[in-house]
Amino acid sequence: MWSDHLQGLVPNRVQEILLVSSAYDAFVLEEGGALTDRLFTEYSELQLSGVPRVTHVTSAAGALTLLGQRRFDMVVTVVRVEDTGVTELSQRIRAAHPELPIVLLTFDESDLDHFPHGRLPPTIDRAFLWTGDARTLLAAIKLTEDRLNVDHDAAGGVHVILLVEDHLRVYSNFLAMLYPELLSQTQSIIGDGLNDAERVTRMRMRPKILLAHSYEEGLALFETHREHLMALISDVRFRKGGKETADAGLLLARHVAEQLPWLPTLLQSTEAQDPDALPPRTWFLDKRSPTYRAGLRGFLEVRLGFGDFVFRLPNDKQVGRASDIFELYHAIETVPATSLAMHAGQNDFSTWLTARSRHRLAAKLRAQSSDEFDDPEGIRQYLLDVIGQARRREQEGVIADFVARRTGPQNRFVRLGTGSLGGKGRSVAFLAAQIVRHGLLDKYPGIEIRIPKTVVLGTDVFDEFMAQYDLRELFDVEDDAEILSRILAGQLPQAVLLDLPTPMARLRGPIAVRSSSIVEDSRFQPFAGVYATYMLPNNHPDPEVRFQELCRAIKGVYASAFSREARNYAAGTPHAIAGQKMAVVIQQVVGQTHGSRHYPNASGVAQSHNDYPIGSQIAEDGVAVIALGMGETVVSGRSALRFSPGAPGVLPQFPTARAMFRGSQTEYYAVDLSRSRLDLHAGPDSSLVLCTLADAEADGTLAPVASVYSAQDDMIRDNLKLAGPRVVSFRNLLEWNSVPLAPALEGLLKLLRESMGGEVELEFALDLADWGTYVRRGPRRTPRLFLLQARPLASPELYPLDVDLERIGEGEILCRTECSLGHGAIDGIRDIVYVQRDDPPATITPAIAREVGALNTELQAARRPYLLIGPGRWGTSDPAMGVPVEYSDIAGARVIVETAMGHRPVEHSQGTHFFQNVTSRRIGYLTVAPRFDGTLDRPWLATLPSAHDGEHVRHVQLETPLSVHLDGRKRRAVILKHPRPAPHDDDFEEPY
Amino acid sequence: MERVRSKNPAEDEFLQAVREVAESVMPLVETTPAYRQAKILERMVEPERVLMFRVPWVDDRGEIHVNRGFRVEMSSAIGPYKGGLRFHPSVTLGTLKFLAFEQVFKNSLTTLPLGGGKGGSDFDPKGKSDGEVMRFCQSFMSELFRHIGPNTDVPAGDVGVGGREIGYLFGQYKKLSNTFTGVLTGKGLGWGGSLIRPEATGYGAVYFAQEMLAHRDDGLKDKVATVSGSGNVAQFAVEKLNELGAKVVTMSDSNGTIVDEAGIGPDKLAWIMELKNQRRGRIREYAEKFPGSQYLEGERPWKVPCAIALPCAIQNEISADDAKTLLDNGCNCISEGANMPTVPAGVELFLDAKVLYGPGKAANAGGVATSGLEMSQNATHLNWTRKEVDARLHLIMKSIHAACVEHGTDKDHVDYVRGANIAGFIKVADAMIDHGVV
Repeated sequence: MWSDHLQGLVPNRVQEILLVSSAYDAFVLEEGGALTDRLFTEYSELQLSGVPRVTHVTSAAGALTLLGQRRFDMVVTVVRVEDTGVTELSQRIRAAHPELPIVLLTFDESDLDHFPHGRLPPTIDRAFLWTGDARTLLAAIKLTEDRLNVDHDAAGGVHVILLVEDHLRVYSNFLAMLYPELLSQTQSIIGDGLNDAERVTRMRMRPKILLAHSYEEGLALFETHREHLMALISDVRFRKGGKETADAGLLLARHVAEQLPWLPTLLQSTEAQDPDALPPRTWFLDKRSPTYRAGLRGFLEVRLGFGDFVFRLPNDKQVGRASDIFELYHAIETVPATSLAMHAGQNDFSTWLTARSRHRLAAKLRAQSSDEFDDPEGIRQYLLDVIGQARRREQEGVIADFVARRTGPQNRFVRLGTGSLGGKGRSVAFLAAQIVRHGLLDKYPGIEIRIPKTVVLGTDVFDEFMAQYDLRELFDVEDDAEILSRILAGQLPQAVLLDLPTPMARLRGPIAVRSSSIVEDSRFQPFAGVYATYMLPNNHPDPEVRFQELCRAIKGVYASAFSREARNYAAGTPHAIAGQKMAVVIQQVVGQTHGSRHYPNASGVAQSHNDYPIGSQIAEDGVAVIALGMGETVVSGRSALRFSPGAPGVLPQFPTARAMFRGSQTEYYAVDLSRSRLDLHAGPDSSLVLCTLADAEADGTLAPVASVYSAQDDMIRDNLKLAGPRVVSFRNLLEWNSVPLAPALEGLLKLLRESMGGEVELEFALDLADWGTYVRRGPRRTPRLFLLQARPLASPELYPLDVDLERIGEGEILCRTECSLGHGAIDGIRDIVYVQRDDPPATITPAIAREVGALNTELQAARRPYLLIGPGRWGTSDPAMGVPVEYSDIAGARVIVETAMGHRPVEHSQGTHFFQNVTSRRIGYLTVAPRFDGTLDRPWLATLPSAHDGEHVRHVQLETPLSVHLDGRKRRAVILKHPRPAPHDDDFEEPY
Repeated sequence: MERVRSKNPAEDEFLQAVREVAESVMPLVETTPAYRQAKILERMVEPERVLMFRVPWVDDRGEIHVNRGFRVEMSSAIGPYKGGLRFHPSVTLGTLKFLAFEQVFKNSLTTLPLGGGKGGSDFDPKGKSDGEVMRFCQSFMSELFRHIGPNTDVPAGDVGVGGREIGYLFGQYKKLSNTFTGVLTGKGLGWGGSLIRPEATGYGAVYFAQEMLAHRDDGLKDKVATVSGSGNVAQFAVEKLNELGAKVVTMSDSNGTIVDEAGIGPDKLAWIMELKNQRRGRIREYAEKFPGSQYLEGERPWKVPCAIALPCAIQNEISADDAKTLLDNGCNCISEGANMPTVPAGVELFLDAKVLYGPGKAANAGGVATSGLEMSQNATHLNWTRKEVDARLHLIMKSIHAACVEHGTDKDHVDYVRGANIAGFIKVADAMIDHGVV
């Protein structure tokens, strides 16, 4: 065969990976679907010796033992290893196995701050930033292989793409995008008309990518591989001569252009560049542009030849197109000779053929200069001769393959389509695996632990849908309604329409269609609650109508990826909105149907660490917030019950019977079954209905969770047969332990903390089944605790800081409190946005929210992080409890202060999506109330000049920045009016 | 005062309370040689007995905790010591002495045979399970039981001691003493408690207003009344005002006020009670429900013209400006259902204007009075009907009013503030003289 001589390519393959990490991280990589799928697909296509096997250990000791026993090709680790730091781990591995590549996956850029000077120790080969996209590991594997194989394979004619980029987040995201892009482009151009063996060889001949972090490193790689260089892709600002240099990329590109003027070159930056300063034929992309990804794809297709060959005349007029070599051959026969001469002069034919791994043919064409032909028709004839000869030789004995679509297994968790499962989908898969692995189903007598029946559409379905209708440009559309309309106009990919009805037939009753973005619910960028979730009654008698409703809801979730809220949120994070990919989780809604309402007996959120342990509560026992009905009550911050699973009888929120009467839940959410059609324009909440406790009592769902308040005796009595106000107390479950909810949650949180290697948040729903009812015949149904989602929480232990608040004078203090969240020092805040009234009535708070949102937009645009001060619970949906902002309305705030709402004590909004966002983005959060020794120097604020004097909200700007100090372990915090040197002023990364 | 200060160092609250009482009764003491010679003030500031004891208890995890228990038996001059138990981390001996001292005069003012006392612990029921609270209460009572009794000392609830705690305390007392007596008040209705307790304060404030008006040959009938608040006190004040023929035009909550010129009659009040007690909604819903009424966002009721004002919401809810507005609008009767709802400058305005101003210590004494009525029922082993309790509450409020009139009348005007201060004092002082130096 023609390719026999290429069989020796890729001698070093990563087949055995040792992963040293928590069980959860291992699961995400090993079983989460996205990585395995990608690896499996690629390795199947390549017909190599199989998908890399990932062996997991949680400790350094275990890793070293295993490395002594077996051969591994690569070690992947994370910052937190059970028994030692990653530096020591890598040193010990390197000492024993000097050649073994070691890759670090970090969860946040500031993880690198743990290393001296923020640089990796030499014993770690490369760091990658884990943002929830499993393709990051694929990139890590491929980059490692490329580094190991480049010298060998280049000798076999394989080409090289040189990437120069020093920013961890950027190159991690870029390579996670570039490798799959490169692989899919390669697959697409070699797929048709070839057999496996040839595809394997062609895939092995895909270009290698080499990564450099500095000018000198890039230059050295260029010199070494210039003979085989296929393209240069470079950042503009990076180190040169040991110093960060604003135009280092330009200098490198110019140098390369002088040596290889034909080389496709792409410069990319977040800073605008003067087009005249760019070397000729160099492409430039703005990294922050919503169309960045499209631009990159354009570069790959047009400049690197992965797309169709487009024949043009010198005046740019298109005169022909070819998608494969057969079409190329016939196009060459017909297009004008001037076009052929132009393309030949630009080496376009060899570039295009190189992208198709036809290196010999490409090399042959490149070697022949167009100047050597007197007549343009001579070029035509030469091309036809050379290409025709190659085609005849290559096409001998080719048989085409058919690759069938794969569908998911028939169990509680079914997956359709490829790509990532997204954050939510992955966590549901992880929970399902934990239930099996640890026998959770019947571990707690009296309650079964399950996941709801779930179907997940992978992110590739989203990609396909977007590509099919060219919808990525929607990132430029401002109007949410227009975005939704345009997306609704499209039809989901045919494969989904064919496959989805089968698993859906098993999901009876109302279903939840939830977003599962690849960046959603990752450790530090949770995007929690930013995207849409729709509840479908799923009760139309016509199955076709039900299915169409489902498709509309899926598209509604897709549309939310482009929404104003998502856009605003992304602007406050390092994620580019254009990189978003959306999987969709479809789940049966837990609960029972009562007339036109469907809801579970209880829903809640539990966290493995209780930041506010009171009395007999212990921080490590965690904390849960629970409410009757759908979880919307909890995540929207309405009244719900907070308890610690380790001490369920302790309810600090309600120290007296009267406090429980006044503060407990009075309404609950249910799926509204009376509306069988979903109004997507009315928003995700439109399918829910707010019900009263009287409704629940009529449904028979109140008795298990409620008590009666006796005003006469000032007591709570757990017997609904008595007259009096009903209070949702959950005492039957928590005090009388009639269902072991608390022990189950306590055990689950402990288990998940261990398996996820850190603190965790769990969403759950409870179906009490036959509890409290007399079953005449047949077996009683056991109550079921459904696990809906789990996600890791940011852990303050990673950011140690010793703040001495005692030494700060009172006169310097703007604000102090004994109740704060967050840890470290935050400097550079020169803007304060504060609500002028400390007791605004409920009718005003929505207007305050709008005013704050408008200021936030301005300050975010100006990239000015600010301090936000206002009364009550930020992010509540109850306007009487505080200012009902969405997270996107305050996404630019760096520090938030909540003050007492008049004389009403306000509990934290912990457990809500809002709060999850606040804590995960490490926003300083201070509660200022007399009971926390809190003070706020309002008179000082009043003396500051206004930048904006709104009806309710004032914005002031400062000459010198504020200095914020948070001591997370003691939960104390202070905001100083002027800057003050902090012991570690880099512990907080700026959000911009 | 100096002697009191030197004997009670670092007890600022107690010293402050002593100073206030001394100032209000000094003209009387100075002009009454018997009080001076009998050293009534000196004896009053010294508790008859102070108990301080260890309260060990075991939490749900088996860990042992130790709190400190107190009972300050301040005065039994006119009856058994009577006063609440407070469980709160801020509780110190000084705090309890201050509260016990004030309780002596509050109880005396009710005209019932109740002495004064206060007790409690630095235990914080917040963050404790029912089991932990129960074990603490049992340990607390294991010491206290030997010092109290239905004719000796009758504690009640206070901050941190509600129906649950009273139940646990009573259970332990019953077990240790092997008696079922009215040793505590605030008991559950099924085991010795009294009816009308939730209603007493609101009803009492209205009865007091009724008495004040009657003293001027006037009445409640057809009078326009503004009421603030929409909790227990306000609800039952409105109920009683309706019953007595007044027209209530306002109620409020922390967000705003509803104004209904047509009057918040019994049906509308029933709707509010359902709103507040069952649904726990906001008062603004009233304006949506009843056309013709209006909702004043963020405002208090005091701008609405009225003849009678009953502040039944919170402390300091009537500012000096509000007081002036009320007076300008022709309000001539203020009966305080809440504790200290009028700021001192507002009180001054009311007193200067010589309108009928019933201070909280007199007008809302209905709550304290019900404790006395519970003791009476326990002593007679009878449970009175709602009507009987209400009737006796009415009598008590009449008596309080009469006492205020007796000691607060100056020419043709009654200064109810002065009257209340002196009435409470004189009854105790005279009893002390009667009992000799004990």
